[in-house]
Amino acid sequence: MANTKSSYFDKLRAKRESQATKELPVSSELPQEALPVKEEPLFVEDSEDEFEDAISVQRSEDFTKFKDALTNVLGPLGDHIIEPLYQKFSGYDDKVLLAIDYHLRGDVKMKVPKSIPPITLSMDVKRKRTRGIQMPLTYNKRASPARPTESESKPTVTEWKRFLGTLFADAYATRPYLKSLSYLQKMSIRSLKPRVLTGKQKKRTSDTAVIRLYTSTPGDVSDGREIGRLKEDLTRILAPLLDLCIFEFEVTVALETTKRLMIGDEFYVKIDCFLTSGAFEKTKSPINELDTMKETRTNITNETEEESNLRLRKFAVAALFSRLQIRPVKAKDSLGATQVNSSDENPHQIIDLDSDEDDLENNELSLDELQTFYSENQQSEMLKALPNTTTPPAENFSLQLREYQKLGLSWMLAREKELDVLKSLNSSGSDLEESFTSQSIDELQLMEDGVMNPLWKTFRWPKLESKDVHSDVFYGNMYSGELSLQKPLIKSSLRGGILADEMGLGKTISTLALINSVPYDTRSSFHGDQYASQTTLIIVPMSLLAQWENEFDKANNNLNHKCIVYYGSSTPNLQSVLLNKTKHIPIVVITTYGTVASEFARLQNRGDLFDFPGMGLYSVKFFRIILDEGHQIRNRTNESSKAIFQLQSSRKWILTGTPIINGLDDLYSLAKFLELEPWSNLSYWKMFVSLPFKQKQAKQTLDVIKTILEPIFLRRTKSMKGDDGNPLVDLPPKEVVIEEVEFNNDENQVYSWFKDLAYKQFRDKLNSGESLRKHLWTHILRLRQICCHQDLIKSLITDMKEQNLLPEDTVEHDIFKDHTEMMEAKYKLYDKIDINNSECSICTKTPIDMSEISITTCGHTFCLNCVIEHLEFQKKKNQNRSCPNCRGPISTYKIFKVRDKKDFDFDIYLYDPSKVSSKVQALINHIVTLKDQNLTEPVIVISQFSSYLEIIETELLLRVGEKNIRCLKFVGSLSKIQRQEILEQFNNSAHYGNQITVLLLSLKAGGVGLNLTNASRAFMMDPWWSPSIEEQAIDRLHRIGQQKTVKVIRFIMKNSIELKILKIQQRKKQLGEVVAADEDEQRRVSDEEIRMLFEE
Amino acid sequence: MAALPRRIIKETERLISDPVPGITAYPDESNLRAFTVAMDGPDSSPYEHGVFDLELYLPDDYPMCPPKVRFLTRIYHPNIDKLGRICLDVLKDNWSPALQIRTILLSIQALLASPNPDDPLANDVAEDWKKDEAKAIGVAKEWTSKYAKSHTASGSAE
Repeated sequence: MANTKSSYFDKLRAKRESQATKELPVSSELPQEALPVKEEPLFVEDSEDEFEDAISVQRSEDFTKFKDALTNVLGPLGDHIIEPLYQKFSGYDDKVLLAIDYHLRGDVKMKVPKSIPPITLSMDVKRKRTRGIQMPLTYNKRASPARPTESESKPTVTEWKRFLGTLFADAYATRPYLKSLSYLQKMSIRSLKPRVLTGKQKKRTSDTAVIRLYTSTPGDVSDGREIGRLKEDLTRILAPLLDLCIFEFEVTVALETTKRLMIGDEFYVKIDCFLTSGAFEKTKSPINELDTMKETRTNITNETEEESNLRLRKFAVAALFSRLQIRPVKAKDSLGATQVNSSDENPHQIIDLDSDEDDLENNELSLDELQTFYSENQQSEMLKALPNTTTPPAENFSLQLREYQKLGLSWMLAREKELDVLKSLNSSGSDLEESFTSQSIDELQLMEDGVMNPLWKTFRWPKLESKDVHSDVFYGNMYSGELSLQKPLIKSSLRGGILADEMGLGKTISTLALINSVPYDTRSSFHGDQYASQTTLIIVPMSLLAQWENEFDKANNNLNHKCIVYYGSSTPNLQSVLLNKTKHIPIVVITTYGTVASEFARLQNRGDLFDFPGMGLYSVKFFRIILDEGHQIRNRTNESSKAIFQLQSSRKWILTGTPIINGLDDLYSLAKFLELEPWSNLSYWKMFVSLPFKQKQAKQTLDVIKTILEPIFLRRTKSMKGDDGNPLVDLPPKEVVIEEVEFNNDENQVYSWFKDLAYKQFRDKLNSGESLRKHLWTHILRLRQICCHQDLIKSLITDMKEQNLLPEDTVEHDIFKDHTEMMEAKYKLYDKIDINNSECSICTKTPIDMSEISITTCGHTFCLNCVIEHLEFQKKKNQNRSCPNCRGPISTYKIFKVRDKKDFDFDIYLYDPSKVSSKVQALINHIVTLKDQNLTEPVIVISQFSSYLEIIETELLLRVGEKNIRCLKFVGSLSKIQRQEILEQFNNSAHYGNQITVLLLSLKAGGVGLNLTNASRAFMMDPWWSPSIEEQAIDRLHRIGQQKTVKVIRFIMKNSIELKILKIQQRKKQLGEVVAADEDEQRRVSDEEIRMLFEE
Repeated sequence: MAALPRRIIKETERLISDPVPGITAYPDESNLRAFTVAMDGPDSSPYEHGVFDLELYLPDDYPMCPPKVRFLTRIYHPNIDKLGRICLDVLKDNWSPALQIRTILLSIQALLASPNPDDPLANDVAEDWKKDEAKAIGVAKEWTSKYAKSHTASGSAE
């Protein structure tokens, strides 16, 4: 690309020069003929390359026709005029008409011959250099007596000017002029303001400015005579530019007039535009400016002159650039290498200069695209220069990092500007050829410094002979009208960033590696007395507290490095722990979001937050703060987020697998925490992200976001390939099976009753137009609960049964008629059974565990699960339920169980089938089968209802037997210590031999961070609205460290609402929903989805 | 496929370690729920001296539902049709999970010993049987020698 481009330029220049020499002598002929043939526009664009290639063949013939047609109407015209017209309109059927119209309207930005203006330009430049301000040809504001009112915003000196482009414009005569205007006759241009000195009006002067043209002769400014004015649209653009000394203009007559001018006669002028050095003087900082702009919006009448100037400047610069067709060089590379805009401009496009067409096309950005955007585009450029051999010092860090984690560590070190550490950690490695050179360090340094402010665009000076001005490019901020010759860099002192690796890639390990590589702040002592220069604060969700502590211990190899947990009632005085000079200071303090929030609230009440209060988290400035699951602060108005923002540290990191949950504004909170200037300024963010996104300028917004994030954001996904072509993480496969379970009789009745009720409500509300969600949510919840276990709405069902609301049982059950009959049957059994020699003829187990024994009225023993399964099976087949052993009639409602009883051998009691759910039964069947096969590795049971987990626990213990099973429960209500204990017990499952360890995991409490690779089987008891939340839970097992195939069974009730939830999940997956979380999501179950639930 | 319940493993082990006299049953290597069965014709029955091949398959629901059994050797019997299907109550409605592979195979052997033409599956055979039992038994013997392997041959081979 670059090659062809430069050669093209050479060609162009050569051509132009030859033309220039050829045509130069001619000066007094008709202007059209005097102008040298000029085909190429000033700003070379790819599209025209293509154009030339493609069209050159058929062009000549076509062109001749076009030219003939045009000259017939317009009289003789030079090729330099016809050529661009032809280029513009050749694609249209009525090209001749369009071209004539276009030509006559005159606001053509036709490319002019370069041969003449540059000569004057270089002369001017030289003269100006020597004479300072006094410029002969152009009007300088300072010299103007006509405007005594302005002085403060005036740039001091115009040292030089540089040609930027040429406009053609209509002017009209304001007084008669005796001679006819001759081609190339020069005029001087002045902006005049009415001389009004009264307060308010003065401030709006620029709006009413007039631009006058004067006849002039070189070297004579004062003597000119006003001859005409420019039209108003152009005046509005040029006047502020003149007033603010941003531009200078040279006006020459572009078309000879045939007769003398009368008042009101139009004539046609060429305006060469020059940017002056004044344009590049600093005005105000963008942020201040932005603030003023904000005020402007609210209170436009009180606009100060300065503000008004800024507003005008912004408008005028943008408008003029657009008229001159000056487009930014594509901001492809952040290093500022120059590239001509490989423009998407259509050669056939008419005069659509302020076109927003590109924008409109790409407005739609689905969340799916956003995700793609993340996984593909957010690779930091820096990574390429970084080594993937960085190994944390072995004396501190005991774990081995994977290659991509090493690369990640390099990146984190670079982000902390610890290039020396980065170097030393690499040079110690044995791999010399891959070791990190000082050259690449420099490169990094450069990148680090060289991030261009995304609001600025690079512009290329027109390629002209004026080689005496410094560089090829200049920079402009089209949002503020600011211009600069220096590259506008974001001067960020930020150390830290966002590590957004996908779940399971080891963000924790990478972070610990960073901490162990740079545990202390070795450089600065000037952070004040409260600076805990040796301590990193890690803020985590409560469920992860223990895990972080464990991981720290696992990774830590240095006895002097300690980690303390700052949580709950046992909080020490941090100031004395962290700031003392004698004892070992912990290098890591781990705390929870909740702790920070409550401490913040307490201090706020006392009002001494900002005064480094006595002892807590706010009493010190930390060396480094790390937010785990950092998307927790996505809501910036949330108290907890505010609390986090107020913590102080010199380095800040955010770890999150899902940086965006609700929308782009989630990122603002992250930027705010990181103090990422200028984005942590809310008005800035709104201006450049929120508003454009609302206005559907998705593509631009994402470009801005990309530029914001690129330097500070690192995300890798599991599917990414490393240098060796293998996926970053090679995990064993994952099998997810849906097992459909049928309702038993009892459940079916209750379910259909509630279902009818819900459908009735649904139909009522559907017609009423009210929010479906609001009214149906409870109904939906009930149905989902019945799918799990009736006992979840036990009291409701009991009430309804008492009030006889539930329909009578239509199927006749074989039930004991009364208590007496039951007691009789029971006492018969005491003689019949021999517990120690019991055998189950169904599963051939002997003896049966006491907890599992069930006895039929005929006195035969079976495992309870076996006989229940047998009865269910027979029911399904519509067979008579009979005892497997004696074929006598048996019934689910007539089964007795056995339990230990104090002072007796055992006790017989009636088993109550209404307490059993089909789903729990299915789970029990699975667990028993596993147990039978001696597959005693731990299993995970996941549900969203923690009360359901409790029921499952009870039933598992009862039905599988306490000897055979060990239940651990991990739910949200546990304290930190309890959680830690549970996890420890879980990880020690191997010591429990024959007992199967079952971890009952609440979907919400266990969704994040936990590492449960100890298990490879999971049972999901109920479906959740969003597949991603379930994925997260499954990923607790399916992550680094998992050795086996992960098998997940999802229980779904047949013919129930759960199937429809699955449909919704499917749909969400197709929509590519960005990972959504917890309670927010419930709110987001839409009416449409509720409608889906009730579809038959 | 569901995992192999412990009961099937136990039954299989016992079939091999403690076989029913006159019956051998081995699971397929590729599918432990499928068995190849060889059954001796009961003494003093038309099927005496014949060895009959059967296949037996345990469905996923076993032992809630009965195993599926079929003769692979042609046999002339009123309760066994041309496809080898067997009409036996315990293989149908009278199945109980308390029954096992070995008890089922014994029942089949008993069926060979005492055909029941009043509850036929192969109607033509049952007709013959009722019309002229002696002749039918003759045909059964003929078929046995024609289609079944010779018991003595297999016996001597063992």
